[in-house]
Amino acid sequence: MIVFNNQEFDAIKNITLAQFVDLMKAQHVIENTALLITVNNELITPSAVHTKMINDGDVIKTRNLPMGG
Amino acid sequence: MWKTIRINSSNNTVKTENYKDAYLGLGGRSLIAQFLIDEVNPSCDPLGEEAKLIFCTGMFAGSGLVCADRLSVGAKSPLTNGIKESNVGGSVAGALAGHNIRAIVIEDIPKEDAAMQFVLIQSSGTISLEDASSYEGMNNYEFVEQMQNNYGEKVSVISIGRAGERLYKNSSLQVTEFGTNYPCRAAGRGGLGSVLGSKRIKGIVVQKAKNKNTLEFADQEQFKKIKKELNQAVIESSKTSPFSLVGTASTIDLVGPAGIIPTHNFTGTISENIENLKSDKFLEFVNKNGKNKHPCQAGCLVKCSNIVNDDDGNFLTGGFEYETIALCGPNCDIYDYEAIAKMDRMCDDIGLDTIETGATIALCMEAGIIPWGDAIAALELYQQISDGTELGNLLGQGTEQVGRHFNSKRIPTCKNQALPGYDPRGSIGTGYTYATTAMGADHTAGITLGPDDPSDVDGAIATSNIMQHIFAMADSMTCMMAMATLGGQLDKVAELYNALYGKNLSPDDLFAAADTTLRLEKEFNKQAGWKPEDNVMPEFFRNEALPATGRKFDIPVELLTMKATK
Repeated sequence: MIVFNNQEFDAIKNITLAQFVDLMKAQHVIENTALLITVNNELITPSAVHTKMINDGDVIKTRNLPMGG
Repeated sequence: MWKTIRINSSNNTVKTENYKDAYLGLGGRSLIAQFLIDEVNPSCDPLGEEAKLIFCTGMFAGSGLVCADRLSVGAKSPLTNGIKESNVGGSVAGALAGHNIRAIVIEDIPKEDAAMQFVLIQSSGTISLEDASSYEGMNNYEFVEQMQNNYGEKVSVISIGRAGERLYKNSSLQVTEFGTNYPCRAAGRGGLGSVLGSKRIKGIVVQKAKNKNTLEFADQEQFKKIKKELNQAVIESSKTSPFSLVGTASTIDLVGPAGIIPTHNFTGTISENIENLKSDKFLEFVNKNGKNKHPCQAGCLVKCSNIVNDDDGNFLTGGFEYETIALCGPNCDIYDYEAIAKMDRMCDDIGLDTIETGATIALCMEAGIIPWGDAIAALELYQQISDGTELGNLLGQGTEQVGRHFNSKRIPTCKNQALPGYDPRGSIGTGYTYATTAMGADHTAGITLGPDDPSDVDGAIATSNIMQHIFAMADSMTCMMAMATLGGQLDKVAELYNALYGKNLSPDDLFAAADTTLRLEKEFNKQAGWKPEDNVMPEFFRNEALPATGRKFDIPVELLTMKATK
């Protein structure tokens, strides 16, 4: 099981964090994929999401990339 | 394919050089950092003969990628005495890309009594230095009008007003905006207008290229395909983004009630008048005679800019942004959009950084020079800066110097540069950025603001470090508003880069490149004399609690002064 923004989802094998986030967007759980993401309270860089693999039991939290002007 | 133009302001020579192979793939802020570390003595006088001012386009300029035609301006800052990259939209970067120009380097200084000149880039590609003595003393709107009369309505212009001519440390470089062609876009921070002024150059005037440059792609079809996907993603995001639907002023809806917007010289006192500045009021004001959703550059799909007209329908200002509103408005107890828009116009005309100037005016109010909240008196001070009165000359030196003059105990600066529109007690990660970035207090160096902004010190520092990298990436390739979408697709951005430059970079490589930029900037500043112990937050942020939360800025000093960049 994966906990994504406090919602529970079935774990998927061999999937990167970026792929999982895309899946969440496709399911309308999130609107945007430009995110700051923590996995088990560890902040993951937006570049590393493409190589970081998701494991059963991971707790993922996201927030939109902070921008302003 | 690209060219570098080198202009010597002492012997009046203009040279065209082939762009260095070693710089291929760099652009915007990353190119500025490399240029300055390679060519400028970090300990030089920022207004002296060793100083150079560099204008350059981003790494995707002229390609049609969303918001790729940003202009970066870089030099050693006379305000911070460190490296500075200031980044601006408008029409100039696209015009330079059309001429195949990636960078313009302005070197040396002329004799003190030398006549003022301007750089003219004609549609034929001919580049020359022209006499500008009859334009000396002109502010930006009049100068641009003269250039349009002489060289065509659609000419793109970078210019300085009286502030830059007088070498004020809060002087900006103004750039003509896409569509309106008024000089309302600003490379505002760091006092870079004065660097151009020290070289006795009034501006750079660019006619559209007769034979427009076509880029050389390693894989043009692949580039087109990915570019289309990325542009479409930004179009989709813009349908719900408050920056697109309202403008950057939408930030007030969050930071106003939260007490994060600077008020009354960063006391954080929340006024009920903040309601006057919320999104609905902003839209009402802007759309009364003008419009929001305006693109500041060709190819902008975010459209966070705007056009503000007066009641007679005449253009008043454009690019009326959150930072200007925050510092010139609530930070001076002014909650009236019409008055703040007039201040924005005056700053753009004189060539002043609105953030630095707003923070300075608040210190004048604190010192009792004018009453708090008195917009008319504030506008008179702006006029004094334009007129170069004794007080005006003082105010042009920036917030730090003005605060010291008035013996203020509450000077809101880091590295001599005024804090922008987010109180560091309300966003401690953003405060960490202010204190540690090579840019001095600067929101474009990496903010952490927003829902779920970490309140714990470790989380705030980690977030700041990542955002400092993301903003370094944004400043090298596009605007930060577009990065709010592209940042989620760095795999595609890397593919796009590879299709243009024939490389094989991964998303991690892009992040590593941003890290290199940050390290070069810090190295420049180290050689310029900056020390880790300079990474401090003004004491009053540590001693006074933010009224809205009771929180003080409490990141331990030793964590600000660590030497590592991450």
